[in-house]
Amino acid sequence: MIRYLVYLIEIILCYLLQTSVFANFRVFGVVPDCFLILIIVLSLTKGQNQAIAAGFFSGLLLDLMFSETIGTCSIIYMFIAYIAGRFNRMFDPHSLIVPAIAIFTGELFYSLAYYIFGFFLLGKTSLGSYMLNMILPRAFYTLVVAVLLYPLFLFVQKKLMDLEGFSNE
Amino acid sequence: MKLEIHKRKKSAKRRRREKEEKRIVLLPKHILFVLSFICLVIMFVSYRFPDTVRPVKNLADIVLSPMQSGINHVGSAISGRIKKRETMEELKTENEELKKLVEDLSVRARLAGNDQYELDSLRRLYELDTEYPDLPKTAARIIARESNGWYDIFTIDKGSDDGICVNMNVIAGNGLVGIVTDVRKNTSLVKSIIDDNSNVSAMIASSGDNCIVNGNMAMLRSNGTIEINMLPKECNAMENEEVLTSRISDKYLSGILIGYIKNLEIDSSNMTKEALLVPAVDFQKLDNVLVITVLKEKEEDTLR
Repeated sequence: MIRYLVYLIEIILCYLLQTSVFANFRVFGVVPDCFLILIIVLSLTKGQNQAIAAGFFSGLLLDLMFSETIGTCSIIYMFIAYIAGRFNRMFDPHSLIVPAIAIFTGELFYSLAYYIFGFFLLGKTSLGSYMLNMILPRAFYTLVVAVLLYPLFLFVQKKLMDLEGFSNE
Repeated sequence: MKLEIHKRKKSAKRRRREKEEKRIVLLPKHILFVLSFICLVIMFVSYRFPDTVRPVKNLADIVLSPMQSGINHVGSAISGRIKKRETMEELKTENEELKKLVEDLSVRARLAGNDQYELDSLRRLYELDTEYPDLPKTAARIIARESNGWYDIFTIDKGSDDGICVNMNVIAGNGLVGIVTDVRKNTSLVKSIIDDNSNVSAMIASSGDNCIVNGNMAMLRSNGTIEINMLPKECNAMENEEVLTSRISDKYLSGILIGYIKNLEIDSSNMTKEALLVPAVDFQKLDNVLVITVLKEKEEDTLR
């Protein structure tokens, strides 16, 4: 129960960080994707089910506040959670390589999916320009912000596990 | 003997089936598909019947908007402090730019004095310019931004309680920022003119040639401009001439400055001309905007 309450707080925190705090610190006009970091942490530590649920609700929140068609972000986040959860067994809390790769490729996947459904199909086919000005800066910025947020979310996960009586080792 | 083997086989089969049944409940891919299906249903419903999701949107707005405006205060205070350090150097470069601008403008003023046509156009521009200081406006603060990076949509801290309606024009300084697309109880969404889905019916100030200003965020980030399309072929506007919202637009009030024209050329269809537009508003540093609380249709009614 406490776990789900914590997830709710984390999702709202991500939302506020992403839309209100980092909106003031845009680099090349892009904002980092805090939800993605949360989803990757969940899928690597707790597996697919909880990560998919978190992806569903965080996408829903984003769409509810900004988009006319509600559900697009949810679907993309859920697929990322599903794929990243497959690497659950490769995860080692002392190594940063797997999460870094997961966050970077996850962000590329997210932006590309968003581009294909929102833009490419409407005839805006200049992928190179979008790649250079939107997708890549966002992926790198997310990776930089992950340096701060990833340890925080991982710490919360460890605390939750302690609370529920599992040992980490 | 045979019967026993048969029984064993049967029980093995049953066990396997039971195992499979258990698995079906637990597999993440089924959760994924069920939730994806729910998403598709929500997408369809929210697109076809936007009013059905309005109460949910309002609820989310009531819960989140106080947090957003509070957090945004903190964020903008920090970024404001960082900006202060930058301003010193910015002022120096700005000073140089302004000196150049003064030279440029004085040359232009001389040209205008000589040329009767240009004098007329400036007069007309002056009339247009005085049109919109009289309009009723209300100030609003940007409290959140769409964060996927593909759209330039932002939330302002005024909503239906403050008398904001859909299709009200939003300006900052003296340039057009965008238009209100969605109104909630305490906040509303503004789609800016640089958004890829934004089309503004516009005109060249001096000649009155009509055109369409299309947003393009990738272009704005790479060279600071958006697109102007559908200019008549005989248009030959000069560099840096003003582009205003047109009279024939049904949503935008006429005569609001959008930006300045650049790189006019004939487009690939060879029928019309296209150009680039430097927006009058700096979208990177936007945090306060003015909402014009008159709708285009109503304004026309009062004029009649």
